[in-house]
Amino acid sequence: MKPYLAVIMDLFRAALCSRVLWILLMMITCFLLALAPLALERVAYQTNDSSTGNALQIRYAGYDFGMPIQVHGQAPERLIAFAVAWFLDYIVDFMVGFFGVFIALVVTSPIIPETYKKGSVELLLSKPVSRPLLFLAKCVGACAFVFLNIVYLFVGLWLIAGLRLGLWDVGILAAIPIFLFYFVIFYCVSALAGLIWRNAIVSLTLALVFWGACIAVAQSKTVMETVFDTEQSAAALERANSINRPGREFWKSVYRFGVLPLYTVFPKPLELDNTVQYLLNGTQGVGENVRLHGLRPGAAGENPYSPIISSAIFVAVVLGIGCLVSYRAEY
Amino acid sequence: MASTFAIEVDSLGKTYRSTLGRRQHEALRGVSFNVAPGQIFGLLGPNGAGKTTLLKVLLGIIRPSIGRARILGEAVGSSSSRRQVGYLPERLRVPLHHTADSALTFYGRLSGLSGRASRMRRGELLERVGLSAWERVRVGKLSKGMLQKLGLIAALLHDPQILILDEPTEGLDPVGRKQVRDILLAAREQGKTIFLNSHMLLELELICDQIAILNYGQLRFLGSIDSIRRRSESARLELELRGPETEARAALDMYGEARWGKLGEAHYRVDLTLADQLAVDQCIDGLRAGGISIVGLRHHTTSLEEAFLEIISSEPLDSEEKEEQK
Repeated sequence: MKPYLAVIMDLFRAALCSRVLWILLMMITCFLLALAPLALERVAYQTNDSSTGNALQIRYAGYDFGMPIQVHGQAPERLIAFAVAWFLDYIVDFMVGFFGVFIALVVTSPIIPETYKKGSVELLLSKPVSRPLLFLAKCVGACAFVFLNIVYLFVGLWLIAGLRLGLWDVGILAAIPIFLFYFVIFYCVSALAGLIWRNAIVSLTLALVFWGACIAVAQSKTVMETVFDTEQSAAALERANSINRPGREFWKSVYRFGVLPLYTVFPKPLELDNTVQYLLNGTQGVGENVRLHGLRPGAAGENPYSPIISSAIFVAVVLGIGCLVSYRAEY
Repeated sequence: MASTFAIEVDSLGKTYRSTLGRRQHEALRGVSFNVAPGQIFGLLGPNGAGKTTLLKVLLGIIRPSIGRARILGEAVGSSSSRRQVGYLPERLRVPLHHTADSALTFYGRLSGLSGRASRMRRGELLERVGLSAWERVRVGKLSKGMLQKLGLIAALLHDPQILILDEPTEGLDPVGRKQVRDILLAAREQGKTIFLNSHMLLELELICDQIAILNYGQLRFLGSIDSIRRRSESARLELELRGPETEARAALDMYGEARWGKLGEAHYRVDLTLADQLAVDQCIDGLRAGGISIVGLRHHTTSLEEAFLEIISSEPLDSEEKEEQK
């Protein structure tokens, strides 16, 4: 394993020397420092009939942020927990799940193309190392680099949630491997593209296009299923009256032969969000508030880990293809 | 069974095909040769002759289409054969985040060396090529020659039995070239086999025991430096003569075209090429019989460069090669 460990360590050395790691750590620190002054405090307020009631005050760096939110007949602790969960959902899901993974892909996409560039690869391949393991070591190195950053970010978020908001939720920490996995899904596509085309821009573009395709397929499936469900009763009525709405069969074919097979084969990053939320809130789906808006597919009661299993199969297949390509390629 | 040769190449062929397989290019055609242990073997050929392809096959970077090659009895490309090889690529690209020191540690580890073993060996090697003072310097700040030396150290670091070096003296000053030559000669003394690909004919002439010349993917010559010179048996003579011109011309006319230069009254310099030593003897006899004084005689030996050019231009080309030339 010594040569492969050397390959992984070399990636960290490269990151340190190119200042990429420092820049990322600094960005995360700035983000955490920006969040740290945020606090949600319970305050008492005077009602019109001169009695006192409960309220929640959002504070930022000691300053009140807006008016206190009055709490009528609810335990304030429950409201705090809900607000914190909503806040974390937004922060974790949007900031980390989108921007974090995007930045991670941008930073790591040149790793494989640089390795297999003419002039560098010959010397590496002349060494007694296995080609598939070299490819995997590079992928592991990239993931380890991202893992380091995710750990720093999530531990920071966990500490802020605990110290400032009073919510010591281990679910935040448990989301670390899920987010790493989220990154791995798209990084393996980027790595395979980098191996074939040896170009960082192509590698990043394909990973982003694939990311978009996964979201598009999942959203299409949800929308189509919703439309088909609501139309079902209307269609039955129309059929009874011998009315044939044009295009219905076409869209059903698109769903059956296009969207559904793609959805089965593709990884499921959006559903992976649900798994994260399951770990964060104990509920499947992104908090009840988001679920109400119907933004996420996946129904309560489904196995929260099934997106991980199907996505893991996808990752294994893509990495397997990568190993085969690297084994057979001639440089 | 242990092999008697360090490198064995048997009927090796490599055909590159385009993605759709419509176009193909035969980079190597039935190349066969053996390299004995402890030899410095030079590979020569014009651009596009197939030298780099042959090197890559030996390193296991590409697979042959037909034939086979072995290194110390192991099939090329196998982990055990690669462990025995130190390689210096033509255009060495060391990632810029490395210092000379860390690059050697990295390449040493890839070759299976522990950090300690690598440290012990690289100090001595850096000293030998005069890079000791540069070991903590980023590779981006090293000159091309220094980088080349660093690559050579990386190739030698794990003490391989075979060194495959692609243009090892490229970009080096005369002192650097001498250092590299000395290192290679010392490695040969230790019984290492060195496979050199170089355009620097003079360098090869100085250190190689055996030479192979490739052209259009075919082996055109295999032998020692002496044999390559002997292969061209014709002798080029430079004569300085005194005497009547008509007699001198009459004596030399039968030996083909000669270049005449007048140095003074009845004083000439003549350049002519004679088929062999017998012709040289007859020519001298003819001149002396005609009363011509031979003031000076210089016998030009064929240089490696002349022999190389002769070999790659004189061999008949088949129709495919002519097509490629067009």
